[in-house]
Amino acid sequence: MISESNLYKIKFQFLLKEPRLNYSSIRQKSFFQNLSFHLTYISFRLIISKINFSYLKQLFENSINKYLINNLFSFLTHSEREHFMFKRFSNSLLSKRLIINVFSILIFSAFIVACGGSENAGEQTNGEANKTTSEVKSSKEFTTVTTAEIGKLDGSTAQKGKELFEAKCTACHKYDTRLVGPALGEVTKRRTPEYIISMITHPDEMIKNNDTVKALLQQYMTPMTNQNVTLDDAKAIYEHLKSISNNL
Amino acid sequence: MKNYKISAIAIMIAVSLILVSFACNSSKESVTEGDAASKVYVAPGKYDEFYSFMSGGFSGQLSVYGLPSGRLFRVIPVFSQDPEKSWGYSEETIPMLNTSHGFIPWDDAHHPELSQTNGETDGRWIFINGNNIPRIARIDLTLFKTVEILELPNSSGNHSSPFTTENTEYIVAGTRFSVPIPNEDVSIKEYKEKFKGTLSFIKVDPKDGNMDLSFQILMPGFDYDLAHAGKGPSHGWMFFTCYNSEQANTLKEVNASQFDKDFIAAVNWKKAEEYLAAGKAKEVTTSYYHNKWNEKTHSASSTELTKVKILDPADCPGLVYYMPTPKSPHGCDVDPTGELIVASGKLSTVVPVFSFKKMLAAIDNKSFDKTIDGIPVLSYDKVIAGEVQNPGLGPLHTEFDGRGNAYTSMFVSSEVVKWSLKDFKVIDRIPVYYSIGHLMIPGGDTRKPNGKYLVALNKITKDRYLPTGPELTQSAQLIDITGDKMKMLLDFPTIGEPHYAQAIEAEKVKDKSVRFYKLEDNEHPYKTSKPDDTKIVREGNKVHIYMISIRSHFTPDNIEGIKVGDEVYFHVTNLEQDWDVPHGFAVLGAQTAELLIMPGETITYKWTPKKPGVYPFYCTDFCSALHQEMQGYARVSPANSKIELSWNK
Repeated sequence: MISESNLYKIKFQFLLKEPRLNYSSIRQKSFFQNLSFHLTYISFRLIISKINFSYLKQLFENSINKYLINNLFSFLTHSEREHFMFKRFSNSLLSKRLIINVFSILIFSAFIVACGGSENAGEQTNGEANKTTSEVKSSKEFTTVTTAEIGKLDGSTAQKGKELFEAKCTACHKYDTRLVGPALGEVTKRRTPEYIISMITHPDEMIKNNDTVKALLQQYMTPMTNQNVTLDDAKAIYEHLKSISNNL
Repeated sequence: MKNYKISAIAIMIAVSLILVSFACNSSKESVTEGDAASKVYVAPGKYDEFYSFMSGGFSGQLSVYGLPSGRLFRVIPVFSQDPEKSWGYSEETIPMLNTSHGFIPWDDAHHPELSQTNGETDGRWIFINGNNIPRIARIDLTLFKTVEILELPNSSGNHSSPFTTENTEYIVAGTRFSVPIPNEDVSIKEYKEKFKGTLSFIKVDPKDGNMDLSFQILMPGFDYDLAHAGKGPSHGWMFFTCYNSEQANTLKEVNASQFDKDFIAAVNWKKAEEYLAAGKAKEVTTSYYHNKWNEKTHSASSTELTKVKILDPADCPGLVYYMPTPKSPHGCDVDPTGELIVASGKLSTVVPVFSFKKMLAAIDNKSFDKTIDGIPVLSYDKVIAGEVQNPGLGPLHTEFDGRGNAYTSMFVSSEVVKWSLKDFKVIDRIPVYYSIGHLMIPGGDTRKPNGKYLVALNKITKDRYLPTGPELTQSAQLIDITGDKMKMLLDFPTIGEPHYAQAIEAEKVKDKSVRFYKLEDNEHPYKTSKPDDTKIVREGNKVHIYMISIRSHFTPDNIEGIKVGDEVYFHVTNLEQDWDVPHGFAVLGAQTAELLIMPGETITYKWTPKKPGVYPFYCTDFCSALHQEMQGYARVSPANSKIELSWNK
């Protein structure tokens, strides 16, 4: 039992065993011989072990980037090789083959970056918190309930709405002045029923998708809370606010 | 130039090979043989496959980890005060820690046990025992909260507990330390004559989980150590290991290790029900407390109970049998079929496996060696199914994978040993670090084990982690048991001393989790449902503040008229109705803890100000961008002050 004790070690021992930058061998071989050796070795390891993506990325970062950066640098600084290598390097810059080689490495890098990016994006949208049920409507303002879903608003539940408002809303809203949130006495004159009811039933989605709400959040800094109000109760609260507004 | 050409070709080949290998690797399933890291890796935002409940040991709590990641999700306070969660500090939770010895802020928790239906874990509740002051707690898995604690009278060292029958008809408890029953002032030298053990059977209401001490069985004064219920064909029986059949009362290390064999006590609890119905039990007066959490009032109550029914095996033939078991047995484990009972003698060189069928036959044939206090001792040869030879040193506990294999922990030789239930031959062994106690397979003591992982719960940590002074974290290890060979996957630290643990498929629990308390259902006597209802009421020197909290303010937040000598009760209701929006509460100079109030919940905070001044209070849990503004002031005036109570709304 040697290595179970240290998972980190297990995970990376493979990397640690990778051929490290070896100045003596580099000095004996050309830049491209070394590079091709590394790439071939990596691909060989990849195929035989079917290692997963993150390993490859690590490998790429650890071996190739370091190789390119450190070795190019070493080409330019190691005095005993300096003249010879620099000459070779500058000559090869003009070589078409080098351009092809560099180009293929760039494509390879782009491939890794692109794959890595898409995988991360996939993970991020998996979280429950980010789940949205509605798409942003480009033609008109975003709301979570439609006019049809709201149905008729005849003021019959305004009294019930008053009680609900006092229980669930007055901690943050007054009719005539701003408290934590905006004054709501005349909100029905400013906003549509769809907006108001969506804001009560689905504040999180509205904050994310509705441009007006986004702007309001910047102004008020405290997000509208989800008080778990049903559609019917939200309609009642709307009717109450409507009746207040009519009486003002 | 030729060199370059070869190199260039080699590079092109290499790049294309890498690209091809990507194509091969597109499936996320591809895991390298022996790639432990990816087997325990749970990507950000993804869930673990299992909830694992680890005993908090001497912390007295129950911790919840994810498997296979080994990530800690929550520490559920059970038997000990927890200032972070105001458990045992808020007025509502203080009664949960009441006992016949008064308010007790700590205990030693050992064995979590999930409730079962048809011998499978069902995700309703998990039970855990208090070892020092004999108690059993029930935790509701929709809330991850301790909702009931039942004290056990006539008991001490409540270790063989709280193991469940296959439909959670009963959970059991036993005395590891025999005591005079009833406990009284006697000489310890009179151990053999005066000291007794008891085995308690606690009935669990299938609807609401309510625990009721149904009966106790009075046993010889041995040390009753661990237990497991029969299942399937052996349902109706409960098996307890016991040691110290020598009945030593000093230096037990030596004196309780004299005899070649101690016992498994096999209890026929269906027979006990018959004797109970026939009025064979003696009702004894005693004192023990039953504490219950009411989820509607968000408050606990503590009730004293004074009666318990006791059955004496001498009056109840067929109730209890002893099966001789080598060398101070510890673990007592029943295989998934219910036919085999595995005991582990701590000092034994074999692991004996008993046959339930043979046991019944031996009882029928009266194959008894002798009788102890009216309890027949069955002949070892007549009940043994086989012995695991050379299993390792210091066998303790056994769990099962549902594929015909058993896994036994070896404390002295620090290893897990896999053996076959067919021929009792050792198949595989893996070293663990260090000195393993319990081991756990999800469902590993039920009829349907989920034999994917095994967790080793090690007693000694030593050099496994970065050192943290003399006191180290506890060490658990995750082992893959899906293949022929066990494979070590992960070390992860745990709290307290990890005794037993249990795990359950996350699917059985996660969707039932409560997200917040509905304000409409809140029946707390000091609830405040809307800002308009906030008020302050003086009753003599008691000041009751009905307060609300919502992002991000308290109402009221300016309070005057409190006097030195007053007992101030903040009854704070969190008006939020959304998941994961708790508010905290703390006041300068408070002698208790902070409050953490879940959405829709009401909690009470007692504060006794000692001198005049202005005392700020604030929210302790970051709740919004303006959390730092969530604060207020309470003014305290001298005792003789004429200032009336006043507050803002």
